Amino acid sequence: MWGGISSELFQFNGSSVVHEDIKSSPPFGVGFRYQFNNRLRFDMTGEFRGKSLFIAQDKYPGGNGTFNRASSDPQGQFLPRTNEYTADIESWVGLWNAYADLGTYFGFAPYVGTGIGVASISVLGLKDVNVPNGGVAYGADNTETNFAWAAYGGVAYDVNESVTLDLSYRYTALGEAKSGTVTAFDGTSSYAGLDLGRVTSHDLMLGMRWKLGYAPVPAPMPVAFK
Amino acid sequence: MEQTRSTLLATGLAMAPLTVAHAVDLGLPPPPPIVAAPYVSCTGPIYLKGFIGAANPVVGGHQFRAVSV
Repeated sequence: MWGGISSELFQFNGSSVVHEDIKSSPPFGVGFRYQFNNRLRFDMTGEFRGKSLFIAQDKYPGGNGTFNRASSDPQGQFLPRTNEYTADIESWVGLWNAYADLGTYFGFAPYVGTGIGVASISVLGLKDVNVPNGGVAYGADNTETNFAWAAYGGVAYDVNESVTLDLSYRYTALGEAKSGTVTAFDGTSSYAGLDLGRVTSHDLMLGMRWKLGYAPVPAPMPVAFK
Repeated sequence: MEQTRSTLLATGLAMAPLTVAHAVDLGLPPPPPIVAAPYVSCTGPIYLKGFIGAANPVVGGHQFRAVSV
């Protein structure tokens, strides 16, 4: 993208995304869980989702326009061009979750859950390469803090009285991700940023829970009675 | 008379320990056995949780929006 293209004009002139993707990175986190009763429990978790590579390509056919186009184009027109974007995306997520246990079957306890919270999602090191135009632009790093929510389904297994293993699927909505101002390498043009849209994630997670303060019940003292 | 009274008093004092010993044999119910109280956790049903995962993130929508300065 080059030369301050406005969104409406860009849409009008038939821009299309050829490909977009975020590569996988392993999330990890910690939290505290409170067992309300045999069926209901709550927890609070914080997690870090490390840098994931974002890549995308788009193209636009060119046409008449009123925006500031590349200096080699005739006034009021722009030529067909492409863009290739790369950036790193990383985020912190804090969630308050509630779970409903569905019983225990052969030692396995399936459950469902949902959570709400906050996601801080950063777009780092955005690069926008326009090969036909011979241009390169770089985006400033930017962090957006959004409302986040999640839905869970999983199964837990008690290894012993104090340790539980937990395998779950989670759908997570992290909110919108945006870059900072994108500026051409020679400083001749810039635009406010690239809106990547809403970021969601399908997560497969393996967890472990430790019961705090747990200690085996000691055997009763022998009774000495005469 | 005085000597008789002293003799009875001395006899009573001498038998006092024996009366205590005899109380054991009166068939009173034994006291309840002393059992240690179960261990009570100081933190209640609270757990520490840790997790790792594999994420498959997705960008929403298929249209970028670049806003001019």
